[in-house]
Amino acid sequence: MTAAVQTGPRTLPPLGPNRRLKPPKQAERTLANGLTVIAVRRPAVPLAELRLWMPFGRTHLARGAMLAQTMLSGTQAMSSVQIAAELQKVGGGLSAGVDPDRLMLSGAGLVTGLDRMLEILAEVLTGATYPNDDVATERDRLVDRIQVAQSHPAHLARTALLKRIYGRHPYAVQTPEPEQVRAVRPPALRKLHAEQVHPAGAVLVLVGDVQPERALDSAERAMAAWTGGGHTGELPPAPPLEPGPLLLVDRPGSVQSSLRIALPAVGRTHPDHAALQLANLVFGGYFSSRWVENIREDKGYTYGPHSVVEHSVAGSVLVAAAEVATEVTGPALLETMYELGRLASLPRTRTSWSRPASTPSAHSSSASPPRPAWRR
Amino acid sequence: MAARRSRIPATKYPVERFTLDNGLRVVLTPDRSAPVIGVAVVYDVGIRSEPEGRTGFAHLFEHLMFQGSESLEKLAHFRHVQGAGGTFNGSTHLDYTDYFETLPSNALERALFLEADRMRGPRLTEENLRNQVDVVKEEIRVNVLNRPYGGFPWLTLPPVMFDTFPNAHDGYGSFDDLESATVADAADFFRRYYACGNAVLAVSGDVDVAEATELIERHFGDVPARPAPQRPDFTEPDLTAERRTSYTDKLAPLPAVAGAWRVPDPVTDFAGYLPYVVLAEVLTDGDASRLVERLVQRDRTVTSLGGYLGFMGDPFDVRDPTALLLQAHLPPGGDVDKVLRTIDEELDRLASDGLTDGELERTQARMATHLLRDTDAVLGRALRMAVLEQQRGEPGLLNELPRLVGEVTGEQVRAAAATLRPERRASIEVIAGGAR
Repeated sequence: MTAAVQTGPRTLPPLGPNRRLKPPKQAERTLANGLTVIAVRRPAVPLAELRLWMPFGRTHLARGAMLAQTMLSGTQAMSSVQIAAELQKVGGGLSAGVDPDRLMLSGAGLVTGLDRMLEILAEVLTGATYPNDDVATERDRLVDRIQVAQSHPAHLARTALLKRIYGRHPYAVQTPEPEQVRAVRPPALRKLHAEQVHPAGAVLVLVGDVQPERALDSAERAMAAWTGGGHTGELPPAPPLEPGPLLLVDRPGSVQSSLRIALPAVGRTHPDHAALQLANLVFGGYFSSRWVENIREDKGYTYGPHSVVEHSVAGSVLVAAAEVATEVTGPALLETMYELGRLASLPRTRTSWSRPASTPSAHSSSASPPRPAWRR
Repeated sequence: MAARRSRIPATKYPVERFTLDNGLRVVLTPDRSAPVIGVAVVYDVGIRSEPEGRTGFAHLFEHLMFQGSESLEKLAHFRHVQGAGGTFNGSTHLDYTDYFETLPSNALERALFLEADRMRGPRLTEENLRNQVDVVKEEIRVNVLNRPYGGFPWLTLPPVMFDTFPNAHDGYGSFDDLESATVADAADFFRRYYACGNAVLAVSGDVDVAEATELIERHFGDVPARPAPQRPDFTEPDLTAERRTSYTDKLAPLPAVAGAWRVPDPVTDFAGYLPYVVLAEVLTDGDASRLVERLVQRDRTVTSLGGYLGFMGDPFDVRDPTALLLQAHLPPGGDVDKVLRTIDEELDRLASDGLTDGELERTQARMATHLLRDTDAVLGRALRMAVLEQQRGEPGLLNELPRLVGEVTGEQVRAAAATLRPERRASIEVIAGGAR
């Protein structure tokens, strides 16, 4: 090409017309045992993703954590190693996790192995045995992981913040203490499983290179023998936020301060929800926000400040988080208050308008709610 | 009884390659299933190329590429990408630096404009440099200095294994070096390494090949031609005697250890390299893997365990010299020597007895899932193909990886295990200074 090199500023090209998104095919069915199954066709890769969500509120903290830790440790017919090997054979894997609202089993594998994955999943749901040896091993491992989590500043800041936000609500404490974990015995896990690992009110989602109706048939066949219900796990609504003074948590030797600020928020179905999401984006919800442009791109106080609306079943809250150099803790807090005050009292200018978008993680900030480090 | 093998599936992502007159290499991989595109620009410069006295410079420079460019003020890049509904980022690796966006497909021309503008020249100012030195220092504090196991083992093990500055130094950089960086250093680094002849542009997703080609020529065609610099030889000889060090991490509550062994050249000896990629998974992928079963479940000498290729866990994005790594966290008071001895014992057992029935096949099926999952999102395809083009001239290798991994034989894995001898190992122990 022989085009002469243009000098000086060039004009940003406009966006083209929006192209239409064709939603994927999906199907839904509620089975006789009360399990809702949703299947979505996404044929881009020959894989299937699986998520099983069970209501799990009002569960003893340490027992719930240990149940997730050991649910895949054995059935009448299979050891933990056999479960893992059988899943691997079809390119699959399963993991379990728990939070104050739910127990979640997650997995992915080659789509040709979906039926086998569902079969193994059903075997675990109907017949997990919590073998004594495995429970002992996993108890120690969970204690180790909690100790590691407690050495992370983000975990300590979150623990303190949750107590401030939730007071006496069950959301106030989300990580069991090591001693509580050490006290959990296999019979308690078997009992918890029998009482709460139920299809009624649970949701199974399958996404992948599947025909949705056929995937529902597969799930229906595999899950037919899983029965039970009664644990709705309903929690009281989270209490309204009560303003309080700045709380200092000492972590000797830290080279940064971890700032956390909780602000009121509304749930997804509230009429103000869209406005809240936009206000959050303007404040600190993505990289091009006032807070990031101020304390990172102008002042250089921090690397990845971000704010996010965290939704839980019993309530929602907006959390702003930044790790700042210790010596600028005061100035960083001042700028944060300034941006919050400005947002609340002055009309927004035209230039800072942007469409909502999720933000990336490494260079800038993360838009997903923080996941406690002690959970797998 | 022979184990039945799950059939390893393949992807058929289309690949279009061409080179502009100024030397910029381009890869297009269209997929019209959703109105989304991935755009990646990869420069053939990374941590290994930064000058002595300037540790961390490749990463600092990556930050400077977001600070405005020929036609764009500071902050404009972020606003234009996110204002179009997109996301962006960049990252610095040992052998390359990438810049990327995911966007609705109606923003294709905008993304090309933004990338071409900074390829012509970032705005390198004293003010932006000082600002980003501060930001990078906070990044290092978050990711290394203020957390337990910070930099373990990706920053702490290379200086044990390697002797030369390019391979051994801290890629995040020392605060002294970062603070010493100048605008002139940045201009020189840009001139030398950010030549369009040293870059690959990849676009994936909802694009028409003819239209995208035309737009790429329009926006990148007049980026001044500069040739790629000669890539230095970073080769180092293999270890002939075991190397072992330790350090105290005052924040760490549990001991930890990582060991590494050199592996064949991932680019020039790909066939010799692949068995090591499979071996790492045989040893550490899930509860049915050899080392997890032995160390975590049976002996209980380890509380968590991982194994992978490349210090940044990037098996197909790294050049020689590189390594197979194993890392483990131990329970309180755990015995690192014992863990290393057990690993040696398990490697010996694998080297002498080979794999058990079905062990290889199930590991390969699982690896296929991981490989396919990584390329499901359009951006993943653009990034991986850009690096495969840059390092191998072969972006279509992405489609072949699950099959090639599936063709590795048990004998090859056994032979690979036989080379992981203690006398070729570099290891580093984290002493738990924060143990309670």
